[in-house]
Amino acid sequence: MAKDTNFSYKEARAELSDILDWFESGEVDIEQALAKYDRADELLKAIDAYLNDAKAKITTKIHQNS
Amino acid sequence: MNELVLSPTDFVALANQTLEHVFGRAVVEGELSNFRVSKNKWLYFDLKDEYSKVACFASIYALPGPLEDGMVVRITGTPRLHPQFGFSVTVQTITPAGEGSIKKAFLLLKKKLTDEGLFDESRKRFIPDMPQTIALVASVESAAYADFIKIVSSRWPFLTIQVFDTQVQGEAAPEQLVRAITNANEQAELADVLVVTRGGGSADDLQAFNDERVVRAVAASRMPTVVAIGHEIDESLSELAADLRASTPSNAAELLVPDKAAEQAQVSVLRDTLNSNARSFVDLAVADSRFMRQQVQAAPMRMLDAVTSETKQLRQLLSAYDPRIILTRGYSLVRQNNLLVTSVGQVAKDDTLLVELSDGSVDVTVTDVHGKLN
Repeated sequence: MAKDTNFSYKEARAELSDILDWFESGEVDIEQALAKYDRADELLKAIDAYLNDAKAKITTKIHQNS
Repeated sequence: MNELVLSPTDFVALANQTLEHVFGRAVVEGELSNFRVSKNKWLYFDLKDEYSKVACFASIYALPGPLEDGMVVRITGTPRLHPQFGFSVTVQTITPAGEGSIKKAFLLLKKKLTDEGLFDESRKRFIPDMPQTIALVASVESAAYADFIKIVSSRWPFLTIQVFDTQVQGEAAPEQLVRAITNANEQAELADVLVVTRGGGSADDLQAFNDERVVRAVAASRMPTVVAIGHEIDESLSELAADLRASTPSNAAELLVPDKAAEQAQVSVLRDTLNSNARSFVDLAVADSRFMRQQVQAAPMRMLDAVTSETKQLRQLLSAYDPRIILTRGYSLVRQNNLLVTSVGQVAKDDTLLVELSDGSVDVTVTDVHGKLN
């Protein structure tokens, strides 16, 4: 997902928020919980990759400019 | 022998002719007595010594300042026999004479003019910083004149000097000084400042500058005035009436115009200061932009760090909701054909089920089905 150029941090972040909200609502459905948990895990991994990539880009730019 | 018999009128005329022929103008010095002013126009007084007295008559314009009986004065005048009132001297000039009288006249006039407010500080005007035109009242033959011109031209050669030549001592000096000062004030192009100057001399020499008419002319000048009489100790009344007093003609020149060399030095200091200010301004700007660049460079990284730490928190939060956490405590999830089995009614003997444990899964076959006992 991190390689996906259509990845939107904003959207990923919003979806993650929605999932957490769902967990906090206290609805007990183990099947959904498993699916949502797996999706949240996937989103977090994508966000991490995206952020690491951004950090690398900025560090490179700073080195070029100074 | 024919005696010449004259009528009184003829006698008076002849006597006056004779007097005029013999004396022309007489200079008499003596003690003042019976001094009085009539109708604010005429002066009557006697000049006397131990043995004689001479009646004198003058116009008020000849008065050098307040006079008192007992003072010694020197007059110039023409002796005349008046057809009605007898002999008197018609006086043209009066000057206090002798140290005591000069001092006395000085003090009397000083008090009078001080009381009038002529010397008040509040009357003093500012002398322009860099005058472009100077009106100079001096004797062109004097050292004072030469000094003033020399110093002014060497210090600041960008000046116009209007010169009003005048005697600065002697009987005619007061009148000439007044005329020169008045003349300077009547020029179409008024100068920026009026300078009245002469070199040093005895108290007697400097009397003209203590003459009431001169003092008033200085005070009445439309231009700001600088009076420089070359003596430092006693002030003349003209100096007191001036807007600025200078000790000597050279001092007047120094006070009036800046020194070109000094100005140039100052300008050069200013330029250096400006340059170094400009440099430090640029240095400051460079340092500022460097700081800004650092801020700009650090900003996205700071933001990313914040977001990363937030993501970490989200992950922790999410782990609290991990449904599989329960498996570590001995529970298991049972699925048949990928569907979660939650009731015995969903399975039959010999069915194959998938049991998910915390660290993996096992396939099991149903050997029997039991409903709840109660």
